[in-house]
Amino acid sequence: MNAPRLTDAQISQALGAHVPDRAPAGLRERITGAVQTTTQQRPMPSLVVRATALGGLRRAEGSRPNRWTLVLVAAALVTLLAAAAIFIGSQRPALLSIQLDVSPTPAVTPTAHGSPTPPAVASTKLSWTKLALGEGSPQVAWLGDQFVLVDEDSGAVRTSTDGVSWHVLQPGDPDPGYAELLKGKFATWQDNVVGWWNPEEGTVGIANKPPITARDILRIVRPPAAPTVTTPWKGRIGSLAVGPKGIVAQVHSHLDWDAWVTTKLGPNWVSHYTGVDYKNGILKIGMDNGPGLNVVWADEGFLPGDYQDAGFGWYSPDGEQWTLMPAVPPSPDGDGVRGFLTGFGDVVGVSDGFIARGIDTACTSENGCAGMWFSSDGLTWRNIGNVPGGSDGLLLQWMGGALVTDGVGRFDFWTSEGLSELPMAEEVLAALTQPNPASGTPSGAAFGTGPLGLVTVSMDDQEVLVTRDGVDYRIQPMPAAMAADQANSRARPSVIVGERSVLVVLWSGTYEAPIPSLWRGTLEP
Amino acid sequence: MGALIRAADAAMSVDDALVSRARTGDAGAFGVLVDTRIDRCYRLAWSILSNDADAADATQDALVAAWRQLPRLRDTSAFDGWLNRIVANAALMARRRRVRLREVSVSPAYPGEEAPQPEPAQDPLARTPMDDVVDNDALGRAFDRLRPKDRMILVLHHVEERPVAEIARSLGIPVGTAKWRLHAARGALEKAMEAEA
Repeated sequence: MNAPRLTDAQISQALGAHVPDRAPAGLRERITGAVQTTTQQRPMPSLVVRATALGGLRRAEGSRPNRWTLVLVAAALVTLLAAAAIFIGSQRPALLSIQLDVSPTPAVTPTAHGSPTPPAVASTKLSWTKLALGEGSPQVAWLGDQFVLVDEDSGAVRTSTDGVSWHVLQPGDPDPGYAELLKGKFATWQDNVVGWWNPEEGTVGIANKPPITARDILRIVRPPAAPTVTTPWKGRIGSLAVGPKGIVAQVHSHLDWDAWVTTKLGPNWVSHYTGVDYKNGILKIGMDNGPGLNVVWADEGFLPGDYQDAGFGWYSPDGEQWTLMPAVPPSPDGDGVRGFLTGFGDVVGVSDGFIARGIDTACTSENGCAGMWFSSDGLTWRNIGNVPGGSDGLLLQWMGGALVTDGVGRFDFWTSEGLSELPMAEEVLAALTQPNPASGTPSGAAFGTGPLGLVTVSMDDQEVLVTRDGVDYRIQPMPAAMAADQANSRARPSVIVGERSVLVVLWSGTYEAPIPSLWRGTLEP
Repeated sequence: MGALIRAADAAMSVDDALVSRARTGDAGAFGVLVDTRIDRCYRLAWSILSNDADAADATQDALVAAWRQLPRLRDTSAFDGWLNRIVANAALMARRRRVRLREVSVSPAYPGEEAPQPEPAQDPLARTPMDDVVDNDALGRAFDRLRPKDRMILVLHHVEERPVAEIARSLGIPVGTAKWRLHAARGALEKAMEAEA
């Protein structure tokens, strides 16, 4: 909380002034002169026919499947699996011991946040109360079946199922390591929490040499068992999902290969460098003073995909045994840098597997396109659609599927069957202030999903959107005092959605002395 | 809106045609491509090297290398991302060479140099300390202290205003990784600002 918070506008303005606007005079002539005396390299004739099958996976931009059909199918699936979950819930012990079943039969509820039986109340009207908050740096989350509030400064931990009664964790209480979990990032499915962070995070600073590669630490919480801590990969986690089928992690190396090659060839290798090529897990450094260097990536403890940091994926059914995802074919342009897991950026667990969002490399939209992928086993993936601008917004678990949303206008609901826009989307789009499309400035909205549904707090409109299913929704004004508590533009609100209540952290004060406020919204009967 | 899209499509097809002609050895077509991209390439190289002369050399190396390798580019619409990678690689290699030579950049001392002009008076009530830090190029100095890869992604996003998805394509990384890198770079910048604030 001590680092200064810079706005996008400040960074753009300052860097725009700092970085030269134009190339120096004469450079253009130098280049064109050099081009005149440089011979182009013609490729050798190839017997390999370029694969075009990838195009068959793409849909035309903007086309979308029958949304209502998908909503109805998803709703039916949710109902069916919820009934199964009620039965299973009645058979299982009170505290779920993780059994991440890879058998074809769904074993758990499709709801994404640990609520086997959706709350019986249908109301979406919230009444708001400001809570006394002693913490200077509160971190709040809904983990399993309770709110967890951690004060980063003191390490104090409180838990509450309703946001009304809070239990302060005492020495000797079972502690799944919440304080550490909330320092980093985490993913949840029912009672299972998988958190990750990097102990070197604070040391990879300006004054310190960055590590060639770093290991993220993974903490798996499975009440009532004690948490386990592992470092399964040499690399950092870009995204991680936990679901009924297990855990999927997208990992990249954070590798400074340039510095690393120097450790192999010495400091003068650049003087004789002629080119670099990476194929089939072998990095070939071309040199003009010898045969060069072939580095077998696997022999050095790295994985194919580390080079250019394209990333790689892991799957585990239980958090203990991990399997590397098989590589997908390289991209058609053959440059070798987009091959592995091109379509795999963010990932979430869904009721029947995993949904990932990545790049559609053939996208021609100016704003890029998201490629959406589904896997039922965490290892093999199929494309379920590509959408222009789909990289906008967050990918969240919701209703047993995945929601791509900015909280105010984009509500793309994805299941293994494909895309469906939530029915409320068009009306909400008109009702709430939208991000500025010209500047890309996000709206002043924060949102979250949980067992209660999707909740958006729009500070621009001073209103709160609540929906359980994306069909019915309510937009209600927030109390004036609540709106006044978000007076610090340098810190964004956060919204944590529980089963019957919502917690919202707002910020006022100055940059040097930000003041948090905690508001609780409780469902009215 | 439709007109804008048509104009963008037209510009894209013109660029594709130029790239196609340049691939077959048309230096004039390549010259037009250089004209419209040289400033951007230079800024990208400068973001890594923080030095005018080195950035100019790296830009020249990269564009000549692009000309040489252009016949190997199969997808003409991928030209810009491909060019970004060549520029970035050229600048990173130039930086390594510079490190080998142990060049030391000496900041001008005030005696004998032009003294910095004081900032014009501002309404203190309307401004925050961070605004002053931004204005007096403290952010620029903090930026100079970042790792080249952090500087590069910040410039691509905040100066060149490239969407994250396009940056990801340029760097050959997933969008999630690009977002993570951008977030990390921003965090590093804010951390560097602490020393300047």
